[in-house]
Amino acid sequence: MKIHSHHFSCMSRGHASYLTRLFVTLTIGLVPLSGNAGAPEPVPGYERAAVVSALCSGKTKQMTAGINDILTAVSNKAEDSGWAATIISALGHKKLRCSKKTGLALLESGDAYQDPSTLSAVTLDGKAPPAPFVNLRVRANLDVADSLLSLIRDPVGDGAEAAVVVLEKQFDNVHVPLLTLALARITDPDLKARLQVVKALKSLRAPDMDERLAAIAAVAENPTERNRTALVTLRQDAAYVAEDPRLAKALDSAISEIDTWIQVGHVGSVLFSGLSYASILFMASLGLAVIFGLMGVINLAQGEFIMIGSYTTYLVQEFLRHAAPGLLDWYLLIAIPFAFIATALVGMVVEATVIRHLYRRPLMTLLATWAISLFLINLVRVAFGTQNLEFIVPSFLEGGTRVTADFFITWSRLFAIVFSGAVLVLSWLLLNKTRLGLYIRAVTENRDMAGCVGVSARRVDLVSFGIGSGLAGLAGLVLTPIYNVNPNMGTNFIVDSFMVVVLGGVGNLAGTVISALGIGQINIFIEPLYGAVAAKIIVLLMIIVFIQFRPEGIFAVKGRK
Amino acid sequence: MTDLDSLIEGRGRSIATQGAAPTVAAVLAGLAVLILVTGMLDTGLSVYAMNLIGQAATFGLLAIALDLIWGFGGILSLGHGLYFAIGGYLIAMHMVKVAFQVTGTPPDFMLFMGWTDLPFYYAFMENFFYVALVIVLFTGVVAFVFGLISFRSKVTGVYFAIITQALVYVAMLLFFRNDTGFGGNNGMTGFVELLGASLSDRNTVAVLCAISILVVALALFGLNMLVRSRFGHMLVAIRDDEARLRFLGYETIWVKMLAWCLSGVLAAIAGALYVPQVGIINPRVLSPELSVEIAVWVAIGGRGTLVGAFLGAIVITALKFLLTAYVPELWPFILSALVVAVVVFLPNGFYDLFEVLRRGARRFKGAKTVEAGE
Amino acid sequence: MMQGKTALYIDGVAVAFGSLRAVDGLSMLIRYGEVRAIIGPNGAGKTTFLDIITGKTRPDSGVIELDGGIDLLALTEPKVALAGVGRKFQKPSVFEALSVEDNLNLSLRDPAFGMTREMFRSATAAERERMEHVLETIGMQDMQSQSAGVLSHGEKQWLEIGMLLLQEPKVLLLDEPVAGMTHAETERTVELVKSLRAPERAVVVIEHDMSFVEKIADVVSVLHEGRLLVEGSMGRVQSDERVRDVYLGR
Repeated sequence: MKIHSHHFSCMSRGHASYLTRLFVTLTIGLVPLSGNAGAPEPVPGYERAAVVSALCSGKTKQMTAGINDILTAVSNKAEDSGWAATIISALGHKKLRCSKKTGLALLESGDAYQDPSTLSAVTLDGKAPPAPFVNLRVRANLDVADSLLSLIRDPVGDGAEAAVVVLEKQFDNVHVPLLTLALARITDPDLKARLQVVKALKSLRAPDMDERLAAIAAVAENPTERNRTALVTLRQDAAYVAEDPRLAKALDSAISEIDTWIQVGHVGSVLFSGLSYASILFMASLGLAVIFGLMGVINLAQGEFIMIGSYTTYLVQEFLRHAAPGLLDWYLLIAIPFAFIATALVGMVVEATVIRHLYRRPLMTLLATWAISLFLINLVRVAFGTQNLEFIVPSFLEGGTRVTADFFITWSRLFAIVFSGAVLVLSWLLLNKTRLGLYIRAVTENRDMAGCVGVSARRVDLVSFGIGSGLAGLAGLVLTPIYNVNPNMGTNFIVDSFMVVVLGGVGNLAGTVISALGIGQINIFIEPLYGAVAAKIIVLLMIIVFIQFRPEGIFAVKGRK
Repeated sequence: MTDLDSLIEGRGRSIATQGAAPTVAAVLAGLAVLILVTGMLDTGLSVYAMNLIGQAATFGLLAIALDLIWGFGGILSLGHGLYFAIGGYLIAMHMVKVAFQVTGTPPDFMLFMGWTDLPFYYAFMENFFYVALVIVLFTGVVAFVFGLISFRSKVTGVYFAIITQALVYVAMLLFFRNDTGFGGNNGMTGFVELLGASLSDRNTVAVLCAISILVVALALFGLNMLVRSRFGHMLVAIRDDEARLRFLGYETIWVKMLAWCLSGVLAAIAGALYVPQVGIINPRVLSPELSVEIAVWVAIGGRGTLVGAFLGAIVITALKFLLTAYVPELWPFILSALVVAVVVFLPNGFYDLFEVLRRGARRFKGAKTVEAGE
Repeated sequence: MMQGKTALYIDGVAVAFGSLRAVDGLSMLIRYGEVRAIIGPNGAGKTTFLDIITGKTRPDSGVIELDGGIDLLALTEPKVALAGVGRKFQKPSVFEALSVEDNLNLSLRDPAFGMTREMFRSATAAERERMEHVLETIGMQDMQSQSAGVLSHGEKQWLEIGMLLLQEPKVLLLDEPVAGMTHAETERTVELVKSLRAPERAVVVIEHDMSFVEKIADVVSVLHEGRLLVEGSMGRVQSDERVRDVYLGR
């Protein structure tokens, strides 16, 4: 609590009452009320009662002026920010009650009433007077004032970011001196930078031309769509531009600089989205490719294995929610083995009961796996319903970070990319460095020969089908924070997965990776330009054209099929 | 390889000397006449029943069309819904155009978009002969282009099937758009008349039903002759050993192309017969699932027999209709179980079940000693 | 008079599959009127060699000319067949879904006709006569309507040879014609192949059965690791040290 030194300048009129008020405030300040109570500096013409009656007036101009006076006083250290915050908040929550007839003003605090100027308790006879009407314009000013005051009083707390967001949106209404004070108190560099942008935006209409030019340059350093719009609006305002010959040129160069960065951000955004979609596609397609290369089986139920992975993840979440709520936040990681194993088991059951009998009959297997897909979709539909499942976003995946302009990297997508990278590495290791991988490669290349050297093709089939399904299950797990989960979700991925396999050839990691990347990127790239339909068409056409020249795909492994 | 084994194996499946097709065709033709007569005389089946039978018949035709290239040519298409839809949409356009010419107002889905006139591709569509010609030619061209691209690049088997799935999926997405003049995701409906006859009139329903059945009969008869002709032999030879046929000096691609285009056109005709009877067309006919279902009909009924495909379509459609009326939840499970069971245990469908039983009985009686195979 | 003239001119043909050199600089001259046997251990490149001639496999280098003028390497498989090269495959490749008669019918490809005509014509009287004659040659006159799928292994082989005969090829390539045959069937095949010898035809036979080769071949070429090892009469080849090494291993 700071005690400011008094400032007895032109305060003769309220001198005595001022001292009284000071005494009262100091006394009351010893009792903890909202915020710190420092002895404010007197400001010429400023008086709490006057301001309160302005707020009570119910008239826009007076109320706005009143709010501004309060803020100015606070910025000049003539008013206590705690009182200011209380009164502003009260006005916003209809806790300031004013009677026009008697001039009585009351502050509602819980069940009791206080005098707005002194915050001392007051007993009320009769009914409380009404609260003044706060229209939209005043509301806007109130919100800004509220945010500014909260920043000043609590620059490091949780509410700081929310306050900054409000100020960013309403930079036009910002009270500049108070903003400067807030800037001085903010320690978080990110928030500080954002506040400086707000200040710059406000300064675009500053009276001093040089200040304007500086502001334009400052805004240009923060290339976002919103800032761009602010600058463009000014540029198109003939009256504004006419005020100084340098303004037009400065605005133009600022706008083009922002444009460049927005483009970069846009490209980055698209690449990143494409990458995250591609990683999920990759995991789903890898299983498909391995199974096809090995057994000549195209598994039309692969999409449903993805779905099983997602639903298993959901079950893990629900189980933790009830049995071990402390671990709930980690459900996504805990679910990894479950999603893999559950889906692998389902896959192996399918292989053992159905696929196994359709050896060397690829077209019949297509139909059989289609039937299985139909079965699984309806099974899940009957068991869980058709609605989208609700997933909580784990705290470590919440939000993201901004790279530039409007390009955000969300942690959940990054997780998908990193995860599939790990899967890629593990798959490579499995295929090339383990015995099982050796068997798989052997059976893929020459089934009969492998049998002759003692490799049980049937067992390899079973295990590979399990692994292939498990991979799809992992894809299902990793997409839960990003895409909708419902019984029909598999169909969204299956066509693309097919295309990846057709294009990338079979039984080869590199081919699958590259074609997943290609198809994923193309989809995401074309979609915002021409729509999802066009994206699919173009991918399909490209593949058809490509197949003309290389029917086996990019990296076909020489083998049985 | 024993007779029985080759039967179960599927490949190298003989074309029986005559097959059941002509008989079935004759029966169907008779049925068509019967329905026509009783329909017009206001006796016999109800309008509702005739309408359903007519729709089922068009599905039968669709299945036969697929059997031609799959059962006899060995080319599995999982996108035949595309051709079915082309025929359906074209006839719908015809009915819309006729209605427009009579009433002067475009259909609702166009009004919603603020269109006051029909787009240019509706020109001449009021002329039935023109529409019929377009159905055949346009489908033929589409089938030709797709077939040429695929067969030339030697895309076969599973890859081919997948690409046809993708193609029909993309077509579905395209037709879901609302701004193409085809009704978007609600499709086109509200058809009132065809060739001057009201679609709800008992006579019209009877005629449509009879014509559908008759077309099936003609298709069975005609295709039966075709698959027993030299062309048919070539097609079957391609199914079993294309390389060998090429090495007899035949450019096999043209045989496949002809079969493929014929199959597509038949499917389109089926679609054109279906839509006036069901009264609506929407992009759901282009769903990948429906196209796979066509293959399921053929597989369950029995590939390479024409009649089997027809029966498969009829039986499954009837089953679906009955079961979805009483136990709708159960239908998908029954269908999937049926498909798996047939595919695993009866690779040539139910049609063969009779053959297997018949020949098994004969064999049991020792009527034929069969040499051991390779 | 074709006898003695070059039917197939093969020079420096080579093809590699990855790092495996299946055929490695092979050169051969095959004349009309002769029966040439090509022998060699498994993997020597014999079947690949036939694949190259018929257009199934594209070689990396080399020249193959038919009849002293027709560049076979520039033709697709159907065109190679129409140019006059007939091949009998290792595995019996008859169309099992069709009858014997229909199989033979399909062999009646007239080079003068385009595909459209071929698809819908019927056999002419002259063609039917030829068919009868071939049926007699292979001894299957009374099995015309039988489905090819129920024939025995040997019968399938003969049917295939019958189909080849109907093609009336200038060059006849037989890939292991007696594989899997009984002794009696093999003897019949010897007669069949001998009857195939004609002044306007060159016959190339790949076989492992040495007694069979002895009975039918005029010239024997031994292949090893994609190259020509020894060429000459059966007697000369049999007595060659290198051949013995290659067959028995070192």
